[in-house]
Amino acid sequence: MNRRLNLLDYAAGSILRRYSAHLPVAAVFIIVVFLAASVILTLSSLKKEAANILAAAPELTVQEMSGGRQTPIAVDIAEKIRSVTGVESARPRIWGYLYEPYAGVNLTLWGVDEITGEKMFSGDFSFREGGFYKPGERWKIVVGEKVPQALNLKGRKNLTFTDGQGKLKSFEIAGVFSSVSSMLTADLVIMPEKDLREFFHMDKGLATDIAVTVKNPAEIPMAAVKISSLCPSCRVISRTWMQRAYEAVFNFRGGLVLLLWMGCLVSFLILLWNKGAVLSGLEKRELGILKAAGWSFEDILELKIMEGAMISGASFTGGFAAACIHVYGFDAVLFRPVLFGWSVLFPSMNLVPVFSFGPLFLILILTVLPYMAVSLLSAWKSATMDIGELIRGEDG
Amino acid sequence: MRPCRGLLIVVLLFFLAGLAGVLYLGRTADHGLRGLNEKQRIAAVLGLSDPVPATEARYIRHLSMADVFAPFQDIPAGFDIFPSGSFYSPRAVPLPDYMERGGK
Repeated sequence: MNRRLNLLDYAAGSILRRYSAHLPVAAVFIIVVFLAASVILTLSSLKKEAANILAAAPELTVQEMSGGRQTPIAVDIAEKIRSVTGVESARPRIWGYLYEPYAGVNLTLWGVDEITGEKMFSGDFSFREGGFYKPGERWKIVVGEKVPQALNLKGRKNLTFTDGQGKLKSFEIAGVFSSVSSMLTADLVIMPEKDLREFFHMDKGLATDIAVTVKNPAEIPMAAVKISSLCPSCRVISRTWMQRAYEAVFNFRGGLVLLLWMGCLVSFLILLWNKGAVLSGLEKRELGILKAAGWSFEDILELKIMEGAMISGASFTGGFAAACIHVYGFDAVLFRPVLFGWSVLFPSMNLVPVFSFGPLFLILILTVLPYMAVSLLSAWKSATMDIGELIRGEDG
Repeated sequence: MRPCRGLLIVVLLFFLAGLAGVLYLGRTADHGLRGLNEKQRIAAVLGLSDPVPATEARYIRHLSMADVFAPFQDIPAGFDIFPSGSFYSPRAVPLPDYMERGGK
């Protein structure tokens, strides 16, 4: 035990003494781990985010298609859908997008019927300002956290949008959602269905699409088939399909970024090999003196293992901690340009920590293992060399 | 000072940093979990289907409703000009089971 402690002592001392030699490698090590861990943490959090929201999404969404494009759907179809076995409710939804040219912002306008409005009004949701408008109130809106800022409202409560016929419609902001729900509500403008219908100039008998809930998951595929036979021009999107879509998106993206990271990893390995395969004269002399002082082959190997473990352990922890701070503390700020593209309005992410051990373990193996291997290799090489050669610092 | 003491200090510093990290994560996790719950409730009441990853194009905003079969497709990585379109998978929206089996 005491021997081990003394060895540990010596290893720590030798790292501290030669910090200038270890620092560059440790820095590269930290960067490599940081990049990969940042990508993996961001992706697993985003996956979790999407899965969480999709879990509450309607089981089936029915869209009317005409000429390969989505068009408004007749509200009557909802009545027919309700008669399908297993269908619990079929709710016509009215929603759409609005491009606000002065600010260059895309908004999502969402119509809310009276029952839903009542639920939102009486429910316990967090708002940054105000709250949900009272059921029955007209021309009142509730907006996402980022909307006032994107439209540059500067505290004004009234805002005006131009409808499809060039007429100005003015709305009063009743409430602003808090940043807690930003990933879901950032760009939303919620208003009474009647007002949105008027704003979009949509007939009473039409809706954007129909959200269908099916209680029993086993009945979803059959319900989808029955609905598409009831309405042959409809497209039925199931929730599992949406879930698969999101999985595919995030895996694709993660794979692409990690592919780029492989280049990083290879250069790190080359750096390691370069450093490990050629021992500096100083290191050789040190090992020579240690051997001359009576250190055995095992002692030297053990010393090198300790050194390697300390440096790689500290670098891995450092890189991983930095990635956590980057992703959870700073909302993955380095990835923002790619994640949000040209969006003028983007959510505050507030990512939830999700640890998937598989990929992190892979990073650990891909970085720590080569490091240990190279430091062991160099130690083994010098430990088997002749003492005289070592002290003279000749190549061997 | 013996190097072992130095090592001890370094280990202690790491431990403290780790502790701070865990505490910080715990705090954000709590905030985040509250957020997850809240988002799920809002999505359930309003009938929303998609998170807001980016708002520059509608097929990114409502990814689950992107078109896959129309000419001049509105899908990610189609012929488009938006940077995020090059970032999201073109196979984002696979055909539903009953369509893949052939005919509705």
